[in-house]
Amino acid sequence: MAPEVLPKPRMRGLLARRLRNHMAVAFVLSLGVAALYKFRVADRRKKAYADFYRNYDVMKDFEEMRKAGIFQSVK
Amino acid sequence: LTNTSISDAQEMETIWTILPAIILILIALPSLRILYLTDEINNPSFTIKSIGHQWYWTYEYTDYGGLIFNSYMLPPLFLEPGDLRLLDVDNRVVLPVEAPVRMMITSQDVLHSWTVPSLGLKTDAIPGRLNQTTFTATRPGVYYGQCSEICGANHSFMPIVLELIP
Repeated sequence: MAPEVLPKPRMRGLLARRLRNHMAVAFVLSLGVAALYKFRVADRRKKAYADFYRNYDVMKDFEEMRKAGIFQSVK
Repeated sequence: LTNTSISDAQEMETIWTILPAIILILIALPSLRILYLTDEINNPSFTIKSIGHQWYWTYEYTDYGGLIFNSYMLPPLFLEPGDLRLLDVDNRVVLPVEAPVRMMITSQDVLHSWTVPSLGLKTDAIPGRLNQTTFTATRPGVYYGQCSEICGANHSFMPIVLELIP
């Protein structure tokens, strides 16, 4: 069984090439994650709050709480 | 980025000093803008003073008349069914919903901290200093908090309760 021989890497400029590639990937990845977070998390959260408060009835909520007896100052 | 160009190479060193500095400034400027925006003057409807003591809070409603009262934790023996142990107090702070409220917080003795996590409030009560926090609640209900600066034996037993009413 002959052991597999990997191709010899191009040694000249190895670190520089690796750094360049990694920097490009890191830049694209960070932009992508930031965009994903903005649209999938931050914007969804803002929309959820806006949807909740659009038709929110403070008095109805308050009346339910008052009838449940949680307030001391109003019975 | 080879060894010859990254050791004793002024150009590269300049670039990787100036570029991160520029990036940090670009991050800091909007951040500072937001910081000052959160300190905006929002014309509060009224002002309440909150004074920390060992180990209770005093609240002063002095805008319309002079209502001053102390707020002590309800001892376990005085709890009624439905009351929360270590959280409920004898006199709650009653506030309006959807009205900007200014809290002026200070202390009579040692450091305390007036906190209501569900409203995003935490302000230190420092003797000899008046700290200010403003908030506008959007939902009615009862909001709980606890002293958040170690202030002695009963630090865990001086809660804060707000009652928000439309």
